[in-house]
Amino acid sequence: MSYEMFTAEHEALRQRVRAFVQTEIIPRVDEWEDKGVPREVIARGLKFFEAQGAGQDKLAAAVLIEEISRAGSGGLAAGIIAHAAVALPLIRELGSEQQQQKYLAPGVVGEKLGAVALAEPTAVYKLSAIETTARREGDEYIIVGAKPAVVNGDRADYIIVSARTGENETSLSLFIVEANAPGLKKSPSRLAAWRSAGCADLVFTEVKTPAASLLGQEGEGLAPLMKSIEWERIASALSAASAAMEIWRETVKHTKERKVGAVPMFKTQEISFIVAEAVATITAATELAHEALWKHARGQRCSTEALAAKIYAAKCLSETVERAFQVFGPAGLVEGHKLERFARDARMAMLTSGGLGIEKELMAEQMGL
Amino acid sequence: MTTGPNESRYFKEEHEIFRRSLRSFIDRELSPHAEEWEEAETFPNEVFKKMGQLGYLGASFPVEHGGAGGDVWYNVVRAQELPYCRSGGVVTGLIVQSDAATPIISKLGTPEQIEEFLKPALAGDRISAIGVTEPDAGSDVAALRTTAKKDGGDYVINGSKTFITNGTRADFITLAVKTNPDSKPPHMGISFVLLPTDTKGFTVTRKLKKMGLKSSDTAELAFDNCRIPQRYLLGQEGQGFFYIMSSFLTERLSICIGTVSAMKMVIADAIRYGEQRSVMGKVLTKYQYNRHRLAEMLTEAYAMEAMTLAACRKYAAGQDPTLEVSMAKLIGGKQSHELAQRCMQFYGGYAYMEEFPIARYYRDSKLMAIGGGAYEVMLLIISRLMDQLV
Repeated sequence: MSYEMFTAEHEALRQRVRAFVQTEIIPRVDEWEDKGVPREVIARGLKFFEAQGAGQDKLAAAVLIEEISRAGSGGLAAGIIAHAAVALPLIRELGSEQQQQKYLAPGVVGEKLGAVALAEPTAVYKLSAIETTARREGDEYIIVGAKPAVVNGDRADYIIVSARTGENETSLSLFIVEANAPGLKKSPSRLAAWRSAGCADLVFTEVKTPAASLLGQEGEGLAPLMKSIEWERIASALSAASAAMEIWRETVKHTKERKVGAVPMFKTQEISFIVAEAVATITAATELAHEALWKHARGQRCSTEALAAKIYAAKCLSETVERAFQVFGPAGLVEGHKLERFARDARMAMLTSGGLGIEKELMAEQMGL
Repeated sequence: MTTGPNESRYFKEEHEIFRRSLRSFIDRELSPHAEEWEEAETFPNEVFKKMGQLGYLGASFPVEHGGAGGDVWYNVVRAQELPYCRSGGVVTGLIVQSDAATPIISKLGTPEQIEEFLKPALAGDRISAIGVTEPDAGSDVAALRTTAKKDGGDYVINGSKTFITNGTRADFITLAVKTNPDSKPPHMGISFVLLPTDTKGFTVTRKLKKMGLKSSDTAELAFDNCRIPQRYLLGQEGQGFFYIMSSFLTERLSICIGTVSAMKMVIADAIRYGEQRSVMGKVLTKYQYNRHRLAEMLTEAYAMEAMTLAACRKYAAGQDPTLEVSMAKLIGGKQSHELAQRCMQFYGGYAYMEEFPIARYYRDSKLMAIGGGAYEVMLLIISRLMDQLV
């Protein structure tokens, strides 16, 4: 009897995505770090996703996330995750028939790209503290506010925005705002990491959006928002653990190719123990992310597990980078070296969804402290 | 499999029933005596008897071997619940009985061996020990020096063993011996035999004083021309090394599972204490620094749990879980003692007194990086097997 949660179909999907990552992404990934990822590559990546019900199946989404993350570009992975694993499922879950037609069908083939702007710098810990507002005027809502460092922000066709629509602390609503809406200003943010994520700071100055662009019910955005952030945390845990494992594989390869004096590196005890210690932590990170995924996919409560998975995997990824540097030496820091790119993006895992400090605070709250 | 909001990835309703029954036994019969048994540096033989009578020892063993015929997950449940007896020594003694000295008898034993040794052990009538470690050979089992020489229809055993849990009172020992001391490679000269402790020439030379796990008795044993019939050979001669590895595996897995529960229990204790203790007008658990440390500790416990369950999953599916078990043992070896150390900070001076269980856990948890294969041994095993993950 097998207790593995991924089915044979998931494993077949994994093989197809892996081949795509190997042949189409990895050879050009450094080039895209500077120029951005071409839209058609994202579109082709999404074909795999379409076949699996476009994010309905969270396990298929997890497979996609794990395999894309092996390319070692956190930005590229974040871009695809934001669109395929966060934006599309929100529309599928909450969207009207019209919205589904408009965004979902072209979304799964990559013709329309989405971004998600939910949290704000002062409102990561408390979503109910979101300051962006939306007021109804006739057939429109007027949105005023700002959302910083939104992944896909400079290239998306539409942005799912959270905004306050009432006096009540929890009166939050979601909107699908067209990227070309007048009053929406996008300034690309130049991050030292996630270079190909297409991050942009968004400012909404009296942005008019049709009433029909409301996603879900007015004032009922908080619950789906919380659920979506829980899933984002699981997604980034999966992504971080998978990236760490790829760094580990590269490290092992290096220890077999290089010699210390006359001895192959992998036969030196210190090196082989560093590598062994790394893989134990990475495996634990993967398993913890999978436990959270298993529960989330079944609709079970798992916010504590999701937080723990994210915290552990983010820390594990950075630790793995440090261990890899001990093996590669300064060569790993040469510009264009695979490890240099992995290392650049690794720290982002500790900074997303509020960052580790906020996540520990949230976890303490979940623990009833 | 049950579905719904509380569906578990691993456990079914029948496992939960077993869990509730065992836990209530532990809360009623074991944990109230934790202090007393720590003080006495042993616990009553009667505990084995009761555990056996209630079917807790043999839950996962086949019915025809005196067990209840349950799957591996019953074993997991037992290992998860035992630490709530709040005495690591009791856990160790019981784990040796059900997860270290006996599974190999069930796997290899002749019908006579099963009748004579396994059935009474699972019933709690005969206490067992596993005798592998010697003064100069622990995880390096190829270096064992205790010998068993054939003489007529018997084996004659000479040598010594040390750090043997249940050693002062075991009725029989699942004993690793060299049946061919000249074997090349040396590990192919090892065999397992079953040695009744009323055999002439057997002596408990010392009851050892330990840093922790005080309620378990740990002994040094000597074998001076101990004569046992050859029908007490377990499995095949010369295959002992592999049997030892198999015993290590079940033992390590149970230790890892127990460690997860112990970690959770220690965190829960710290929270309970912290919620009552006020410092400068505020309870400890409301200080942000403490809250974040507790979140970090629970994160580590969850990671250890996920790693351990991955090992259980592989074991339950009949695959070799050596790599996963070693990883779990490695992580537990580091995390459990570190956790104890961090939790002690919560209690301040009280942590250093014996009034709360934390000082005891601090001592007990150190063994995780030493006993049943040290941290460094786990690194060695992982480094040898990790290529399968590339």
